Amino acid sequence: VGHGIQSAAAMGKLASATRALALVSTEPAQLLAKLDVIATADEAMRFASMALVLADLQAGVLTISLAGHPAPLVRSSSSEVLELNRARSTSLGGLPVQRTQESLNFEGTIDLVLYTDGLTERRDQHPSETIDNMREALRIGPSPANSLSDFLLSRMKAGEQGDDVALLCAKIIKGPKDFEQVFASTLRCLAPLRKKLREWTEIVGMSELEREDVILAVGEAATNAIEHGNRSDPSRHVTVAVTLQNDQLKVVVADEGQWTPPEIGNGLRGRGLGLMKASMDAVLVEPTPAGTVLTLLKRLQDPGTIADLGRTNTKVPV
Amino acid sequence: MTNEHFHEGTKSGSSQAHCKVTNGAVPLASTKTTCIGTTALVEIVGEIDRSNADFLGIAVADGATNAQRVVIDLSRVGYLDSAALSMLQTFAMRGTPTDLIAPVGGRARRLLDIAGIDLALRVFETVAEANVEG
Repeated sequence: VGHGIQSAAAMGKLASATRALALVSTEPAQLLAKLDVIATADEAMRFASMALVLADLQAGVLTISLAGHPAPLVRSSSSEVLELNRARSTSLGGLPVQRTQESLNFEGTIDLVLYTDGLTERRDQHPSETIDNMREALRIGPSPANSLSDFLLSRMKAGEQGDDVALLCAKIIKGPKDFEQVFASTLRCLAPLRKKLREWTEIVGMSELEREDVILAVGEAATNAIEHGNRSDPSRHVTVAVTLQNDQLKVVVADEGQWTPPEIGNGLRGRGLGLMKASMDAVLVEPTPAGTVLTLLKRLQDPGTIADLGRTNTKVPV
Repeated sequence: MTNEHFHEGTKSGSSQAHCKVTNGAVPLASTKTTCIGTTALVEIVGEIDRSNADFLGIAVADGATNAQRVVIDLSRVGYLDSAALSMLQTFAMRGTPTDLIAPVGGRARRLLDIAGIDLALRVFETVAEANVEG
């Protein structure tokens, strides 16, 4: 959109419009078409450029739609680099165009790189040449997202051309986003539950300390559900469901019995809840007619890997 | 491991007057007791949860029958929970002076710190630091 306070204000408006529209749009091209209407009506937002990427982690599909914005790059787990440039189109609110989108199926873990043209525009070089340099840099760059962005900025000599640069590197991991296990009420089920949870917490990219804390809390909650909820009756079941939305981890452990939480610190039985509270941010116990539902919440600290990937990402360059 | 049943540790030679050298296995974990003078050094390796904590408590007590000091080494315990803490405290309250080995940064140390057990029992970094000599 340009520089200065007017542009910053326009970006703010565009960002909130995008966020609102993302809730009611299922396809990036459809969302861009709605933004065209808004940008046409507001002079300040007109001709803003945008790259819109939707990541479906369960299916392993990226969907991209571009409005006057450099095409994102993707690096596969075998270091193959692709430029997602098939859904290029004009800036927002400009000449009327039919918005299109491109889809990419992926396996395993990929790196997605979004950048503004400040990174690749050179007075003395053809754009295709600088993009080739960028692709090569991405092919050989390091794996962690934060190291990768530092590497790309230094390889591309960011800032030397005087234009400002926005760069976003995200690691995107295909796989089941949610964890669910249903098991019979015997203590023998605890170790296999921990093993599966250990695998899942690694896939979603949690730090070692967070993983161990979550495994402890879930272990305690499951032990409670088996012994106090279901009274060790193997015909009754315990359900453990873990979901991750942005950086918020939520664990729900449900049993088929009735128990009341003891006061923290009272006797041996209270200690499990104490450990859950110490290793999570919040612990809620809710008796329902079907059984007791225990909810554990934790905000994850490590933002480098997956924190932003569960939702429709919109990157609005200035 | 999960199908192994608890069995009592094997007795050592009669030269050990004050405690028994034992090797025991319970589901998920094993214990090994070494006697150094009148001290029983019990190493637990594996995971401790509600399913095996009671068995492990018996195995620890069995090795430490006549010891005057018991040092429980948790350095190689990869998982432990409130049941493990209860077992350790119950054992320590039987009367034999009991110390723990749990290096900083390890899983056991973190849990001992959360539960405040490091305030009630001495916790050492290594076997050497625990000064396990007659």
